[in-house]
Amino acid sequence: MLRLALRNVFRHRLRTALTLAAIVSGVVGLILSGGFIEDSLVQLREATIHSQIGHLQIYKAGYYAQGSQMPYRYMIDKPQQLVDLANTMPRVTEVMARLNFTGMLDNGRTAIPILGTGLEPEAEARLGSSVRIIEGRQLSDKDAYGILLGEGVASAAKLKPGDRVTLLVNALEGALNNLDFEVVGVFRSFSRDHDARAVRIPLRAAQELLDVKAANAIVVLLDDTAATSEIAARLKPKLASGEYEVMTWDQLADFYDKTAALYRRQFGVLQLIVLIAVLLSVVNSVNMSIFERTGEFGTLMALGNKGKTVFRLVLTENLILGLIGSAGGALLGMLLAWAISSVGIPMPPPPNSNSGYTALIRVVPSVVAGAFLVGFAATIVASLLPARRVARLPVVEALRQNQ
Amino acid sequence: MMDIADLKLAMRNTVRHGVRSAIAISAISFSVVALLLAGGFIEWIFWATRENVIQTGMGHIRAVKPGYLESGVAEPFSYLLPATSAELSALEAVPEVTGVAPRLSASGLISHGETTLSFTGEGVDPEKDQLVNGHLQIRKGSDLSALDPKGIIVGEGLAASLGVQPGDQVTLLTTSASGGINAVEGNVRGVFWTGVKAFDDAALRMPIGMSRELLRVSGSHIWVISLERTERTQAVLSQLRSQFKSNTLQFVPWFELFDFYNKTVALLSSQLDVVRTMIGVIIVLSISNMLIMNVLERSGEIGTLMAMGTRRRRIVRLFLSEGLVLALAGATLGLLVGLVLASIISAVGIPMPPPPGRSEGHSAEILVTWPVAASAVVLAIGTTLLASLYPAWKASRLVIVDALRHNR
Repeated sequence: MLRLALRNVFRHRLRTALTLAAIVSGVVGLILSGGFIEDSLVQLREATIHSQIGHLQIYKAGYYAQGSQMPYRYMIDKPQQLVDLANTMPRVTEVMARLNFTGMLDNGRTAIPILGTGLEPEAEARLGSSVRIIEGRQLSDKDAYGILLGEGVASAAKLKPGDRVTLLVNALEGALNNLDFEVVGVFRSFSRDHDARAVRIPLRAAQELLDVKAANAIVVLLDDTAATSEIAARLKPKLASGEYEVMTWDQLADFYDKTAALYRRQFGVLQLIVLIAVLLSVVNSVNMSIFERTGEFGTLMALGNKGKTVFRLVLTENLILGLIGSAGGALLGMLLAWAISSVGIPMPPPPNSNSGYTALIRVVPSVVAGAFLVGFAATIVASLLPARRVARLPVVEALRQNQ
Repeated sequence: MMDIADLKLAMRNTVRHGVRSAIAISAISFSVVALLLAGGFIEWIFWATRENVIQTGMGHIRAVKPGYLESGVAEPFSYLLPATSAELSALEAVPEVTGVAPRLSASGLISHGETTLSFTGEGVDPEKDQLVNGHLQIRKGSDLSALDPKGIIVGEGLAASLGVQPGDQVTLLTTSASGGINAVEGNVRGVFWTGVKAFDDAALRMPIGMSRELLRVSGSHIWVISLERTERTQAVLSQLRSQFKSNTLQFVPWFELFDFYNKTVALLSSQLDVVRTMIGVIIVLSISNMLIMNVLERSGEIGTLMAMGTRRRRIVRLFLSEGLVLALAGATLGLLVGLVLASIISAVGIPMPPPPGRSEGHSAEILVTWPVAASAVVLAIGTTLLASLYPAWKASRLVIVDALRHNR
């Protein structure tokens, strides 16, 4: 039976080729679309991590919930110890400290209330630029007293790059400290309200301004997102218990889950349409191919073969076709995914970023396996009905197709 | 190129090969259906993204005093719009404008017990501001209400820092118009969450009457204008700009205010285009596959035709006409089925999760627009014609004897 089916498959070269083409293109389509969607989700995740959050952040316990408005109450007094500790962990590529403060910005005419962040400019740049520079340039490590202003702050105080400003803060003991800065650039972030009050200065300048050596947050960047929870779990016992809290990126970006869920659903509907298109294309080809051979099956039955035998023959043939087509499709799909990825699909920049990214098509084992199964199953299921039809056809009727 | 005789023959052939034609037509019409549904769904995604932006408080158009956007934060009292004026009534009377909601921003300090923190607040009119009500995600308590003139809602981070729960008393403190310090008592009605932590850590919303009392002014900073239909924004915008003098009112549409939205859409449309292209390619392949099989199975018939003296060019023409008949039938059927399916799916709705910062998601629909329908039909018909060209040409190149041999 198997040998006969194989012979049939190779005898009808053209029909076999066309049916195979339908199966292969379907499987390839599923692999490519699935791989692209996976990539979009991965890129969304990485963009989230690289926009300011990092993989892990270490705070003084309680800072995340209540500290943003009261940074002085939740200071890490010896940030260098934590930085050194984090640097001893595997997979860690970058560790940086941030210090937040509230104060006034004086441009010589008026004073504007601001929320400031002291940070390490070049380490932050390696994390990823979370903000767009719309005027001037980014801070660099060489700007000891440079300041980046939020768009709203710059327009409210009528400041542009090159101007000098003074920051005033209430230091810990209640003394009023001030320090002069030169505006190097103006940035725009996710929210106008935020930009109307935000400024950024180098960490050392912020520490000098507040007269402390402390920081509010230690941001840790890893080389692999998948290792986040493992590293977080290994970091926690090394910290003095109760004194610090370790937050992972998915806890910090609580909007990410919702965005990803929405994304998944949007792409999911399109993927369902792809799936149905593939199914129908395979069903159509198999159907047509069996229909065209009605006469042949009539001859078989006229020669004394049972309807059951014919049914099984058709099924075996399609089993072979499905196997070859799906395997070929899986191979070709992976090859194409690899080829397209090496060229890349240029994409526009995500919100909050200046530079676009290159989309890839990821080879996801589960997607490849799923595509293979869909192609294989569709071929067999598609052959059931037409096979049953020819097997039940009166022999004379079927023979008549042999004009 | 094709004449009536060809078309007539093509029709007859289509009807004669009942099963073959049916399979080919089903492939074509299904392609149209798939393209319609995918395209219509993508249209809906854009629509939903846009409406989400507008409904999270942006409004369609904002009217402000010229200069407010640049300097309003530093000099909040220099750019006040009057509480009532001829212009406001004129704005409300503009056809297509469904509502004008005043907003008054007020920033200052908020205290509860021992804790005092800074806030950025906005006074809104809970009654007129339909856009705000119910669209912010309220995590605890309830939204602003016109019946509770002292009830405010605060961002989640601010609520945590202050340690307040719904029902707690708070005091708002700010510098009023006269330069003095002014304080107003209020109570927390609810806690909201937008998903932007830096915003939720400092933001609150209060009834506009309360923010007027706080600043000791009677006007507002912004009039948020909502329209019947988002697509009309540009048209209404230019009408408003010509109707009102530019030195009294400045009109800003939502798409100029929200850079974030434009970039989101640019990225989303590139991503969706890639998927749409993949669907297109699968469909082109599926149609070509079907037609090649359809024509090549008929080699014997072609041999007979040529043996009886039909020219090769006529053969090509015949098969092209047949392709055309199939394409038209398939596209029409597909369009019909697609539209019916689209309206059924839209009526039932595809449940979608809510976007970040919102409490409810829309349930998705299929928005079949003219460009979506036209491109689906053009792609299907074009593919069918191209796909029938190759096998027709190939068939016409057959050696007659070989072709006849297929007539076993």
